[in-house]
Amino acid sequence: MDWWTIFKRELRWIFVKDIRRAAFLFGSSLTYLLFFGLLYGTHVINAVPIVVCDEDQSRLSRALIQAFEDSERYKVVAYVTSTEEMERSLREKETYAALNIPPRFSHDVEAGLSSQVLLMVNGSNIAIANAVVTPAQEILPAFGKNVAAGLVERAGHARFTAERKVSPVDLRLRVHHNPTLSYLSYFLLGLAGAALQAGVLLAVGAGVLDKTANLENMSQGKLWEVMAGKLLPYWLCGIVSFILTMAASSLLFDVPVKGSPLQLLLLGVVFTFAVTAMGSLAALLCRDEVSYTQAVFAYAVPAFILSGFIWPIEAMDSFSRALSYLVPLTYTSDNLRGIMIAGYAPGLFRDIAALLAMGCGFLWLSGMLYGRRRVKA
Amino acid sequence: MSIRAVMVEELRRIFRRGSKTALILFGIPVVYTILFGMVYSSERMEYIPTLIYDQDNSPASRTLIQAFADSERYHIAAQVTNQEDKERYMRENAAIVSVVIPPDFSKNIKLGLATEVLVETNAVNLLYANTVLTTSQEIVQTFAAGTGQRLVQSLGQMPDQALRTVAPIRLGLRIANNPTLGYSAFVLPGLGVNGLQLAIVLATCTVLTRLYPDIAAWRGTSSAVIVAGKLLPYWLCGLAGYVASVLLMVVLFQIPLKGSVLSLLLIGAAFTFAAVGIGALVSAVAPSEVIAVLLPMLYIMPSFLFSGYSWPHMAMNAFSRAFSATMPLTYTVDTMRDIMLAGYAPSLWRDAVILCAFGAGLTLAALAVFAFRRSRLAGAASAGEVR
Repeated sequence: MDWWTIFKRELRWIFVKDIRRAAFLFGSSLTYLLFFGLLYGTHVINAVPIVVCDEDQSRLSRALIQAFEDSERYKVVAYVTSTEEMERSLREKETYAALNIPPRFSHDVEAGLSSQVLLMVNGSNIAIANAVVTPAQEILPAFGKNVAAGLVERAGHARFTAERKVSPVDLRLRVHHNPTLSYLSYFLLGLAGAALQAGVLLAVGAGVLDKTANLENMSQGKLWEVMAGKLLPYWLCGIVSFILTMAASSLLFDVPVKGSPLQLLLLGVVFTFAVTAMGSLAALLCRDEVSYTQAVFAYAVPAFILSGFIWPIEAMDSFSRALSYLVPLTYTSDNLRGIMIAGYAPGLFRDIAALLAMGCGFLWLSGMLYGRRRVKA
Repeated sequence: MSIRAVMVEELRRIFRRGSKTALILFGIPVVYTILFGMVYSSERMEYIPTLIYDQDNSPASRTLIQAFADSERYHIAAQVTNQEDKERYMRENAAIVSVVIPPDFSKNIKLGLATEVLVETNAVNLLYANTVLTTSQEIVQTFAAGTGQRLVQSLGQMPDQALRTVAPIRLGLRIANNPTLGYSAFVLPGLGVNGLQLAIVLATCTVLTRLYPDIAAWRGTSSAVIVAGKLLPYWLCGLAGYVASVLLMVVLFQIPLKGSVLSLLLIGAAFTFAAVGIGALVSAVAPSEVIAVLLPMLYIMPSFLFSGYSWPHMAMNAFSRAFSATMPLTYTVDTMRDIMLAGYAPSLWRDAVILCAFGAGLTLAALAVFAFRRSRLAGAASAGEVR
C-alpha cells in the first residue's frame, strides 16, 4: 500500500468508521474552551464579602468604611460590634476579610497620634487574598493622604503645599498586556492548549492501536509510507482544530490576537507535529488502548503544571525544571499567550526549533520501534 | 462466593505482580504530591527580573532603587539609560518589571512640588503582576512616608510628630491561615486529592465492565455481594493513597496540619467513597473497557478548576456553579485545605454527608445497572442453550 491509500483510509476511519477520533481531535479543545470560558467569564474576583467592626463610630471611621463600600472589589455583608464576632464570621467563612477600626481612631488621628486600622484576610485561597489586599493598599493610602494634608493644613499651611508635603512621591502603576488582570485572558489559552494536546494524543493512540488496522498488521509497504499515511491525517486535523480553537477563543471570549496570526499558525503546526509524534511513540510503547488512555490522563495534569504556564519555570527547582523541558506544552502555552495577549513572544523561534526537534526525535524512535516489531512479525 | 472471597480475589488482582492497578492507585497520588510539591517548593515569587530606568541619578532616586534591590521579591537585572532600551528589555522578557524615575525627581521633592515613580509590569502571567502590585506599593509608600516626614519636619515639626502627620493612618495587615501566601500550602492539598480522584476513577472504572464477558462464572453469587466485594478493596486502597498523600504533604513539604486528623480522615473517607462510586457506575454502564476509561475522564478532568478551590464560587456564573455542584471534588478540596491551614472547616459535616450521599447513590445505581445487565446476559445465554 502506498501512503496515499493509507492516508485516505485513515481519514475515513477518523470521520466515518470511528467517529470517536474526530470527537477527540475537534471536540476536546473546543468543549473545554467553552467550559473554561464560561468559568472565567467574570474575569476578576469582585465583591468579596467583608465584615466591618467599627469600634470608633466616628465621622472619620464612617468615611473610611464608605471608601471600602464604594469599591466594587468589596461587598460589606455585616457590621459587628466586637472583634470576637468578627473573628467568628471569618472562621465560619461567612466573610473572607474583616476591617477593624480601633476605638479612639478618630481622636488619635485628629490629635496627631496616628492610628492603625486592621485588615484581616483569610489567606487560604491566594486568589481571594490578592483580590482583598491589593485594593486595600490603594484605598487606605489615598484616604490617609487626604487626612494628612488636613493635618498639615491645620498647622497653618496652604492646602496645595500640604498635599505635596505629605505625599511627595506618588506611585503610578502601569500594567501591560492584561491591564484588568483578567483570569480569562490569563488562563484560557493554556487550558485549551492542554485539552488540544490530550485530544490529539487520544486520537493518535486510537489510530495506532486500532485492532483491525494497526501498524503491526501493515507489514506490506515501506516503513515511512505506512507511518506517514497513518500519522499525517491526525497532524492535519490537529492543525485545523488548533485554528478553530484560537478562532473560537477570540470570537467567543474576546481574547485579543495582538501578534501575528502567521506566527500563531506556525506554533500550532509544530506543536501538533510534536504531539502527534509523541502519541505514536507512546502508543507503541503501551501496546493496548486501555493502558495508553490511562497513561494519557495521568500525564495531562503534570504536563500542564510543568509547562510553566502558571508557575513560571524560573521559579521551579532544578528537577522540575529538567522535567518541564520534556513536555511539548512548555514550548507552546507561554508563547501562545504571548502572541495572543502581548503581541510578541521573545523565545518563539527557539521554542519552535525545540518542538521540531522533539517531534523528529519521537518520530524517529517510533519508527525504530515499529520497524523492529515488523521484522519480528 | 462470600463477600470476603470476592474481596480477597480483587485484592489479589490489584496487587498481582505486573498489574498496573496498584501502580495507578498509589503511584498517581504519591507521584503527583511529590512532583507538585517540588514544583512549588520555592513557595512564592521572588527575584523577579527588574529593570531600572533612573533619569535622575540623585541620592533620593538611588535610595528608592536600593529599596527595590533590598526586597527579595525583586532582582535588578539591568539599568538602562533610555526609553528604547527599556522597551527592548521588556519585549524580550529579560525584565518583567521596570521602575522608571523621572528627571528632576529629587529636585521636585525638595521644592515640595511632588513627583511620581512609574512601575510598569508585564501582566501576561498574573502571578508576577499580583506580586508586583502588592509589593511595589509597599516599597514606594514606605519611601514616600520617609521623605514626607523630612518635608514636614522642615515645616517645624519634631521627627516623630512629622512621621505621624504624614502617615496618620497605617494599614495593619493580618493574613490568617497562610500568612506568607505560600503557593504550595494553597495549591498542594487540592492537587494531591485531584490526583487521587484520577487514580481511583482510572482504577475502578473497568471493575464491573470486565465481568460481563464471562458473567456465567459468577452464578450463585448475588449482585450485591459482587459489587460490594469488588469495590470495598478500592475504597480501602484509595483511603490508603489519601493518607499517604497527606503524610507526604505534611512531612516532606511542611504543609501545616492545624486541624484534627479525624476530620481530615472523615472527609477523605467520604470523598474516596464518592470517587469509587463514580468509577463503579461507569464500569457498570460502559460497553467496553476503553469507553469505560474515557467516559469519566471527560467529567473529572475539569473538576479541579470548577471545584472553587482556586477560582472561588463567588466569581462563577450560574452555569459554572451548577456544574461545580455535581462534582465530589467541590465538597472536598476546600474543606480539606481549611482543616489543614485554618484548623477548622465550617462545612465539614455538610460536605461529608453530601459526599456519602454521592457515594451511596452512585453505588446503588451501579448495582441496579449491573443486576439488570447481568439478568439480560443470563437470559440471552439460557435462550441460546434452549435453542
